[in-house]
Amino acid sequence: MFNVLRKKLKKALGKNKNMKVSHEKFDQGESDSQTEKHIIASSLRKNKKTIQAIFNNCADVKFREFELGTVPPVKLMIVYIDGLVSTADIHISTLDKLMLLNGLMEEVSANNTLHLIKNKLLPIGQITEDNDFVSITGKILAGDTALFIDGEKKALVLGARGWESRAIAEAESEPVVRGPRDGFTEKMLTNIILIRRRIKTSRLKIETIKIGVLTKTDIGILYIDGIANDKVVEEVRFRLKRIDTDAILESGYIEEFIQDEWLSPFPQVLSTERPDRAAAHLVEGHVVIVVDTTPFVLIVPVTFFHFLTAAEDYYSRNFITMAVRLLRLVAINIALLLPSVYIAVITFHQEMIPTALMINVAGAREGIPFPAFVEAFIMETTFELLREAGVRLPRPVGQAISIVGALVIGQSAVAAGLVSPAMVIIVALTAIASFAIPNYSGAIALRLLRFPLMILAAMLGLFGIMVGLLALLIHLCALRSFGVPYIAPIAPFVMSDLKDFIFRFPVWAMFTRPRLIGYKEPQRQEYMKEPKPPEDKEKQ
Amino acid sequence: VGDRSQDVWIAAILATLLGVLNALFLSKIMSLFSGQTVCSYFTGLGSKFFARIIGMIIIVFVVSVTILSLRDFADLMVAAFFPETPLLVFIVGLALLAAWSAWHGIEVIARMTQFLLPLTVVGVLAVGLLSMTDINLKNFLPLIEDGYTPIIRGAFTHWAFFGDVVIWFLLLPFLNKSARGYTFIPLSIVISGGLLVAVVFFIINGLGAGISAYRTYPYLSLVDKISISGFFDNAKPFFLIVWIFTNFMKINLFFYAATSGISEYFRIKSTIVIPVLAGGAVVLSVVLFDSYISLKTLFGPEYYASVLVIIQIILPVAMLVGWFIKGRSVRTS
Repeated sequence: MFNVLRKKLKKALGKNKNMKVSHEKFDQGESDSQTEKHIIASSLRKNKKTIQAIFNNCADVKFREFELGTVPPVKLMIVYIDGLVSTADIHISTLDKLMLLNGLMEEVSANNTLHLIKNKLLPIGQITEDNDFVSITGKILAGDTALFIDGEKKALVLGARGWESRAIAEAESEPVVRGPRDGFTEKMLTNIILIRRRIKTSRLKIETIKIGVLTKTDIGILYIDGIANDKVVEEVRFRLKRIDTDAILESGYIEEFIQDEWLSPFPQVLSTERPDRAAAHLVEGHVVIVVDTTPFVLIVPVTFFHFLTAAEDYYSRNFITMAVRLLRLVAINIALLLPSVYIAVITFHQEMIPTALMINVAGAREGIPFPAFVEAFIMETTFELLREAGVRLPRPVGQAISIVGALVIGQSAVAAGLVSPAMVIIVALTAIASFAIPNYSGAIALRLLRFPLMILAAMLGLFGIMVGLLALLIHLCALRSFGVPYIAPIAPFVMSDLKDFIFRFPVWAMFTRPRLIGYKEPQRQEYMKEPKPPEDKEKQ
Repeated sequence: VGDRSQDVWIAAILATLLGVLNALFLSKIMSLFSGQTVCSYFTGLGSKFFARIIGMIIIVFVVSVTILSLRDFADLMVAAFFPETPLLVFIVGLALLAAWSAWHGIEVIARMTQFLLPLTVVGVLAVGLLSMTDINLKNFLPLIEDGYTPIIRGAFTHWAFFGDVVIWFLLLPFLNKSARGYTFIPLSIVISGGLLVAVVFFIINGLGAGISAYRTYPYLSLVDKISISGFFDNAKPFFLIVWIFTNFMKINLFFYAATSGISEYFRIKSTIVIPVLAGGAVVLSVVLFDSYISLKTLFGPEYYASVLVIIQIILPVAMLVGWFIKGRSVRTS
């Protein structure tokens, strides 16, 4: 039956109206029960033929026929994908239990074999009945095992998944000195468990949907009921369901589908590898989107300043955090502005520099054949090249890049009189500053914007830089992330949110959630329970 | 700006008081319109002709302030920082920014202002305070040297610039309902007036009335005086930044008010109004004035302030009269 269908399908690609079942149907997992063309038959032989036709040329799919160990033996067959199922479950909990009955069950009437197997024989937690080849195929592909029983019009689907996955390891993109070391893995279940272990409440809701016609990637929407804004949750659901694509291979795909404004260098979705960070955001009222097959989970809604925070900000002392955050503010300004300000000052506003320093800089630039802009552009581009090469190079060759970068480009370029030493300092500072910004995707946006600002500075000096910055400000003010203004604690100005902005108040003083995100249940703890020495307690 | 004598700070205070009085009057009138623009309110009352005239006057005023500010800004840029760059570059730069933010709408403009205003105020005050190496109170003496006429003249000149608040007649529908008490208008005058008095104080204190009278941009000369331990000698660029911020905010808001006013008045989509208005403003601001001198003459009390009398006093009174005649009859019926 299916061979014929498939042959026809190849011609018509599912567009033929006479086709009852199409490739697309299979891929989207819709069951088409009216036509009943793909409802399983009671004969095992027929079913075997069908399922083998479906999995034609799929070497990883295993078919195993055996007999139930009752006295009139019943023919059975399991179908699973090798490697996606737990072999121990298949061998011990399924085959062993069904085959080695040694005639213990003597009477099996033809009607209730299925119930017998389901209710008395199989020690497996998750068993469902199914009679539709489309959904059975989908489940097999997801790692379940299908058990066909001769004489039954239903098959059992055994949830015995288990595949190789990376162990939980430290989050490499967001390291901390102090703080938990576990990072997300590529397995969605593990990731959700890592979050669940931190938030032990039934209010933590997890909704799953599948996206991708071919990949059928599992996507989990996590939020805390009553804290997360319902409209945001609804919007997340809506935007995810709207996605109609063939493949989701990483959360970056989802991010591009659900962001508010695509015409922007700034990320409007925060991605993190750290479960503690995801949990902290959930508690504040954000929605977390977990995508199977990637360790990066998405957090929405976010503001620009979320990209300047790191998980460790909340684990170290609050004064230290404040100093570090001020440092990051400096880092942003350097990463974005230093080269362009250098160009503007050298080209247009020499009078700005103190005389002694000016003489130094001018002396160093003596004999440099390029104008400041070209010099800066060459060096900044070189640095970006080095950085990109450093990321993509195979590890063993990685050291070569640093030697080449430091010695050849830096020292030799100066010695050859191509660039001035001041420029090398500028580039180095810019690089260091851009790496001091904790979020990679936030930092890379600023690094990119450096180049247009350099061009503007070369054309119009400080006025050009200001025009560029003001244009940037217009853009930032117009951006939103799931309805939350992008530069939120400043504009619109929210006084109470300044507690976790540049300052980080002590944890006992942060008694409300961020107003724009967690306003549904604003209070986190009792008002102002500051720590006191014991004498004070006795006095009270 | 205006007359330069050591008494100009008195004029500034006087102007602020006048401005607050005027703003109280205006905000009282605005509270009558229940969040509609002037045009649509009077049209709603049935006096379409009246609405047309008032709307036209306000729109012409707002557009001309946009043009004047563009030109004023560009002149300063050329005179003080970029003597070899053509005027047009600065005008086009700011006009493009204004058009883009008007495209995004009032919300974005409001947020930007919220972001920039603190920086600007801190910048202005910091420059003033840094320049204040010592307090020369004798610069302020003798008090009221030439009688009251120049003071009143100066006050009148400054007062004219507080007339900018009439753009609220065009922006009323965008106002948050909770702000319908309209106390923010006199408050804004108090703040900007305070800033004006502070700046005037810094100038007279730092430069003395004699020098500041000669300079085209006395505050810029003040900035030149800043020197921190002989290393940080030139604060002019910071002044430039602050100056760009303030002009950017003002031009943006006026440009947006003009856009929304025109598109309401003539029933044209704002997507058409914005490019036309931006182009027109650029051309007019270049063509209308020969030099900075002619612009400055226009800002004198004889021209600018006289026009502002119409906008700030005669027009509101006319509105009030119109409201008495029409609005009351509507309300009673």
